[in-house]
Amino acid sequence: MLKNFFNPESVAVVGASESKGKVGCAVIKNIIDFGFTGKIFPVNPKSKKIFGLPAYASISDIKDKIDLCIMIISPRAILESIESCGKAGINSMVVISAGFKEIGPEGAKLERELMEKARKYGIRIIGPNCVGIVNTSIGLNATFAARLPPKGNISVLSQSGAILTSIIDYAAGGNIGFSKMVSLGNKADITETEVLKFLGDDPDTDVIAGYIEGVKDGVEFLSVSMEVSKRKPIIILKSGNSDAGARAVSSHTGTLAGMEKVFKAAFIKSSIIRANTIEELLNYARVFSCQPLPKENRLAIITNAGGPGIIAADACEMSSVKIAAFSSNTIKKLRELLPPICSIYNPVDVVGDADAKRYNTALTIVAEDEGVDGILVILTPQEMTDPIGTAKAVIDTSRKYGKTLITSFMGKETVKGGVDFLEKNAIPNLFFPEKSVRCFEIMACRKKETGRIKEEDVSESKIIKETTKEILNNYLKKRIFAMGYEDSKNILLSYGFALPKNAFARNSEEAIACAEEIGYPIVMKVVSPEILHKTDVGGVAVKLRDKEEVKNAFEEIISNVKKYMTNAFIKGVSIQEMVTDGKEVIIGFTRDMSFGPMLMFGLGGIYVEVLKDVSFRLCPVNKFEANTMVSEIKSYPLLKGVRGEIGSDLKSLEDAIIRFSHLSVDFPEILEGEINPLIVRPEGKGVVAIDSRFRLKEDV
Amino acid sequence: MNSIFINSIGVKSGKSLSAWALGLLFKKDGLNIGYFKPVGIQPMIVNRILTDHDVHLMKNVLELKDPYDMICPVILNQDTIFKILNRKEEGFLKKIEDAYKKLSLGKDIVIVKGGNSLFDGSIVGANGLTLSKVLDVKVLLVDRFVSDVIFIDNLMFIKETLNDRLQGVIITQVMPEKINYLKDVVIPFLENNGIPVYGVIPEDRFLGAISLRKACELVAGEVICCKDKLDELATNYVIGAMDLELAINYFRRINNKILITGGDRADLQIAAMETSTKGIILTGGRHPNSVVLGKAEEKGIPIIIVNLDTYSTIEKLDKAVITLDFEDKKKINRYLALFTENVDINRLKERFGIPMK
Repeated sequence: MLKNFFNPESVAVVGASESKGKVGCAVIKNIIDFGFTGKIFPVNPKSKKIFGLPAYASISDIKDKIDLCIMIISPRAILESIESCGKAGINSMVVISAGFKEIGPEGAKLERELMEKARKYGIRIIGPNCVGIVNTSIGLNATFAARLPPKGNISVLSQSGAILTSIIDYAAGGNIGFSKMVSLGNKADITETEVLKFLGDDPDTDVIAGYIEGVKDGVEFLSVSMEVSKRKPIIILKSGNSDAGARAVSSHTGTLAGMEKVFKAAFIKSSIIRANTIEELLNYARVFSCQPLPKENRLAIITNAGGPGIIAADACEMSSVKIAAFSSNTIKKLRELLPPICSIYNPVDVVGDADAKRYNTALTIVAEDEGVDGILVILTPQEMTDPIGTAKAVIDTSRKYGKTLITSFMGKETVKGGVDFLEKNAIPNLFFPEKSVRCFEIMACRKKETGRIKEEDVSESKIIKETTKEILNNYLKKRIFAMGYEDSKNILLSYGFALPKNAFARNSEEAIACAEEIGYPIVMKVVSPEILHKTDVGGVAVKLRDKEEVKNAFEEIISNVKKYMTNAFIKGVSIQEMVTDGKEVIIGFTRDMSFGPMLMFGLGGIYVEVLKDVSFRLCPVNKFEANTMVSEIKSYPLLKGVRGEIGSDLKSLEDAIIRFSHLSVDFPEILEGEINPLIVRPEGKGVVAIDSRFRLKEDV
Repeated sequence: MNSIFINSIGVKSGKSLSAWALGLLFKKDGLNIGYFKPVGIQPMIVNRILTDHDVHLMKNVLELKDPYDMICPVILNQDTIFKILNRKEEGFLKKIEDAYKKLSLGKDIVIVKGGNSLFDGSIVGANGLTLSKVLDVKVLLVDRFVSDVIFIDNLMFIKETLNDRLQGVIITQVMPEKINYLKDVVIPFLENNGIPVYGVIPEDRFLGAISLRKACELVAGEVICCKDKLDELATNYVIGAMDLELAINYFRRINNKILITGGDRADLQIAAMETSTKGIILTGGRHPNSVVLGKAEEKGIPIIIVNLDTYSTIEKLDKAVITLDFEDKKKINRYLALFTENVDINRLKERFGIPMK
């Protein structure tokens, strides 16, 4: 689909100019200067030639096939020329021009018209209001950025043109290489999803880096990124995560930034690597582009100074990186071949007077250790230090042993030669050791992720969708959109949930009869469509042990509710057996406008309400996700069992999570749903749904 | 000739809509209908004639030929109230009686419309209870069901007072969750106590909806975009002051809303526009940025700027008296459908002695 954008054999630049300072000048000059191998057609009715190339008055004057059209004229002029573009067979257009949705209502109207016309003629558009696109392998720099980055295997998509031009400038003249670069602009047509798909299939792209502020088609984005990230690392920096940032995104783009927890869950689901800063985005991209993934997460540190070595060790401790434990053979060799003053345990300190040879010795021995997956080489500029020689040693080790190698040559002037040499030979260098550790961690996680067999999201219990469909249709027909436990318990049953013995009573007499039948102790809860939070209004009574208590509780509950809401419509009470041997958890789902249903899990009561100790995943949730969403909450040890108590039935809990997530996907008419509490009984005894509520979607 | 005296115990029960619906249905049946409002409480001038807002509406929508002063012989305007309180005018009941007699001539059925409640008109000695006796007309109550005891208490009291003059009730604005309870428990009780129930009309927020135009007038706002959408109807107000996550969940649940928020909350404005929103009121005199404005244009959602704070804005909107207007054709059509579906018209006609087709 995007082939003509990135591999055109001919490009028309509408609005090309020789006038310095104009965007049209910068773009045409870039296309010419950076060695684009295809045909170039400048279009400008006021010129006969532009930079030596024959210029055309309009698109229709060009007789040759045009694969790609770059528009740098006014919005209205673009609208007027769409028809001739369509007739000329152009199906790929980059609209660099501003003056569309981003300026306000008038511009938004023009953008709508642009899309209408483009659709009519089958023209796909990147932009408008973008910086342009780059493909280094064919020397195509169709942007107004001043430079062309070196050729490489990283591709970038960016919702911010300014960030893209900054990256281009940062990279140019440096040692980080790019393949494709795309500025998405207003995303009137082509979005990050489609670009991701293209880059996923692009043989010249090994690493995908992106900057986004929001995603419109979340479900599609998720599907594409899940597929692409199986093959290539996708690193994304998403902004607008704070309240202030979100407001800025909305002001800037007229779209929602999307909630932080939703994106976090989306990135987990799609195995996208999250960068929290622009620096991380570039650092991660760089290491992925040139270093092999480590087998595991065991890192060896070789340093010529204690301080940075400790910093690196600390960084490992605070991350999931393990400080590799050397084999006795490695230790023996290090002891034999390094001066006695050197520290031979990890971190290996070759001390301040280490020359390239000593580094090389340490490197070779450590690299041979099977318990080492990656090596961080720290070099601080001392009198004897030989940055270039050390760099050579690193490069040779990398080539010979194929382990992940990252360096922190700390300094600027003295180490410059060594750093350049490293980077020209695919060894990434970061000044800060802790950042190098972080990069290694990311790579190790990626390895683990790609090595994991994708779990199925199938539950072990039977689900009967038809029952739920019938119940929901019934409620929707009656225009009842809020469902409490009495309304929704059959839905829970049809999704394989066990319920406590329960019954509904309209008065105290019936309540007593139900309690006798169920068996004491029981719990009594008010049933009223107007009472959402029963406990808050005194609508719940627990541990009722006999008829008298049941009768009194009934009166008290009704009285409490009436105090809160005089005219509340009270249908009656529900009577439930009391389940005492378990831990209370909450599982619930809401719907994100872009990504669809998202599940929340946490321990009940203060853990969720006060401590906000919860985890989120996008639905449907598979076994692995259910497992990690349970184990990642801080209060997980309480579920596992503390001080000798038997652990909770985590298997049943995880299965319940999977089933509940399926409910959210199977029935989009359920806007929100919650089981609170879900009692997780001891291992082997299952889970029981004690209370639930659903909110249905009201048609407009 | 028989009449239906439509009245209620509580206010805002749907009497006007029911009168309108019945009028249309009877007309469709080919009956020669009359409409009589003994005491007008919303004075207005039409072609130099003092009449009542409700009367003016009904005269037009039901195409009534009778003159205004016959349809509504007593108007409680400022002057009349002054005279009454200073005991300078009397004879209202006679005036009403005479007008009713004249209007009834040649009619198959007269719909008599009460005031806000049965007690209205007492000031001129012509409340609902008195008029039903004096005009010898049977009463149809149209009332909202809120809770069982209060509702039944009121109805049974009126039954005791009016006896056989109370010919039944239509219960309106019932929460869907209460309908089964009403039908299975409350209505059988009422029927057993001699109070026929002709129908249960479910709650429909649309009927109480306010147009964006009206909302704008109430808050004295300035419309800055989508002026062509001001006739759209909103059924809910939502205040936007929470954080975005809560807002998104909340906004998704509330359809056809007006969002009231500050001009600086682009995130909430966008979130509202991504859900079912009919209009946005920005308080504190602050305008939205151009990108947000563009989005509103794209979605066809009027933005109204007011100089008030949020609380004052809500106060003004809340206090609005939602009266029916000519523009409310959508509402009457909707109510007519609900009415026909849920009310046993034939039983009602039989009880009130209205000729069948």
